[in-house]
Amino acid sequence: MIDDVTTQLRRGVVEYCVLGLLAGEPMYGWQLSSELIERDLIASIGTLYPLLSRLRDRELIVVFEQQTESDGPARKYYRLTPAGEDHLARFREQWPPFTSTVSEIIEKGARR
Amino acid sequence: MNAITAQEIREDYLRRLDTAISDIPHGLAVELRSGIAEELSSTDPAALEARIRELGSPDEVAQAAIEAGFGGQSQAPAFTPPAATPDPQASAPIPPPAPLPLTETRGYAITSAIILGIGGIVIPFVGWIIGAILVTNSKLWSTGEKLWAIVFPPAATVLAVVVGWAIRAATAPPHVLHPNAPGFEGSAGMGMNPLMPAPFDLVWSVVLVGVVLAPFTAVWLVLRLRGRRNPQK
Repeated sequence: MIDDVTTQLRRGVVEYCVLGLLAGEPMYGWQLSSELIERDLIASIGTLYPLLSRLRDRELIVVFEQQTESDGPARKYYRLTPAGEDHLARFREQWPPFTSTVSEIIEKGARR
Repeated sequence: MNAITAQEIREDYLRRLDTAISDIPHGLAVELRSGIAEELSSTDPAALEARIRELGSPDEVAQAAIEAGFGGQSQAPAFTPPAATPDPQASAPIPPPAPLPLTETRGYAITSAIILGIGGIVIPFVGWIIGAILVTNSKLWSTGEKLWAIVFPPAATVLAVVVGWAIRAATAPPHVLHPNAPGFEGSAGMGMNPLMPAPFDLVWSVVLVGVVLAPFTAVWLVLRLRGRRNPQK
């Protein structure tokens, strides 16, 4: 069961997780949602598309069509834009010191 | 029979999904429906039902989308389900995605690397320059990688020629270096003026760049492309 604290934490980082997945390779919707659901970051594919829509509005990702298999239907793939790569790179710089600071603070409280 | 049954399963799910997402802004609902419809293309009823179980019920999917929020689309008109058609993918009226620019494709990148590698052998100098231009235009390598691939061969060649000249000048006997010295002769033709590159140096430089260094950098560029699909800065 996802509690409120975990839900809030996930909401804060899931867009960066999407950017991180797309940094490896372009992915289609089901592929992305499978990766995120497997890691318990979202509960449903329904959560993914509003997030993708916001990322597209901010021009951090773009969509293109590509045929996955020779006789299969074309799928809509998502990939990072240069702005999306910058955004992810800045998050990568900020994440370690952020988690370190939070850990230090909450550990202090636990030791009291 | 199975194909018709699979289509009925697909249409039933999409019909219920259309109802569930009717309160979601149009653009978002169309994209969501299109993404789900792509996953329901199987003609095997068992596989289709398994995928639908993974998706969750249309109500669950719609509820998750509503809880995730609509961002700037809150004022957009609500979703209007498309008229029932046999092909759910054809009914999704989303704007066509932009085609990938040629310079962002792996095919272009690999072709430009090949031309850089062997262009100088096929058409000396000009072929290599053409390859260098094509590599420069590709978006799949970073600026640093392109600089390394293009600058390294001629820079290494110039360095090799300079080193060769310096060694030759340092080890040449005096009568070769000084025209007025006894025994100075130009009969050999090579090494007459150590201040100028000998023909051998120039030929060797062309061979070094064209046959060795350029293909080496081309192979290196192709290896850098492994698993890479996004434009690099």
